[in-house]
Amino acid sequence: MNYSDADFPNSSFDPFLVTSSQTTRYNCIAWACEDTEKWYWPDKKHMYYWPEEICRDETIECFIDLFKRIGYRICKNDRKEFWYTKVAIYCDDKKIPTHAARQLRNGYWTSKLGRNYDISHTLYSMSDGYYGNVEVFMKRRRFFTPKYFKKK
Amino acid sequence: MIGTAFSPVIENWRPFAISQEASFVRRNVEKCFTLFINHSVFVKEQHNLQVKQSFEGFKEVWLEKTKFSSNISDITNNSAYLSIIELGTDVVPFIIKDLRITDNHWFYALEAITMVNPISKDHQGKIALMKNDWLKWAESNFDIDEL
Repeated sequence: MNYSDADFPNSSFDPFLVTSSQTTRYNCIAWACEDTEKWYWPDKKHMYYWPEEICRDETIECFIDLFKRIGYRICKNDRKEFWYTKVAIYCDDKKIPTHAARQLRNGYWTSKLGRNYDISHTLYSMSDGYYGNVEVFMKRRRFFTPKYFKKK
Repeated sequence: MIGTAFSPVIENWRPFAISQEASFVRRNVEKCFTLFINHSVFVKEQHNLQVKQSFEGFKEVWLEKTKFSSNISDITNNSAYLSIIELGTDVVPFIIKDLRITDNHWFYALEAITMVNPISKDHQGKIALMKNDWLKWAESNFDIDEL
């Protein structure tokens, strides 16, 4: 995989493993939402997918709302909890969201690197790199069915 | 010896305007040049080659700089991406060619250059379908052989 220490300076000290082939079909936000069909982004020209009922800004609040829509709520830490799936939202220095990762059952995290690969990693191996650092952790109960999937 | 045979001429003065004949010749040369530029296959090919080389160069930089980015604003505001947009309508065939074989994010550039957005609302964010919408548009608006 073509990344340098400058991109992810801690990737050589902790697990940082490629787990898929390259695809542009979905991005990290979609992957965190367990959707492999769309590229999620709140762009102003409405070319990319973003739920209509969620504010369309590149702010942490809008990203939190996106995950709240599918059952997540803000939590304090990244500690693995059997009954919960967690996501981490990354922001840059200007507090603009850059990335999202989802926790796996084994405690590692899974991420999609832009239009590149899926990887399994620890929070440390991705920290202080291309995406900045984790701003918010959110969690939802496993086997959760979002409201909009339920039959009326 | 040379100095004495051809004494240097020091130009202290030049005519302010060119002669009528010279002006006539210049106008015609300019006219011929313009006609040549517009109609010469050779010049067109040279121009296309330059656009292609610029496109390939900028594309490489753009893909490298945004390789991990999910942020569409970052991807489409990258300076190399903007330079591709500045190449204008001549670059559209190269973008379409690239779009045929990749899923690169050319949608903003195509929209900015052509002022058209053929992506249907249901296809937002679905890269394969967005790409198909643009390829269909290209087929009906471009000479296929040209592509």
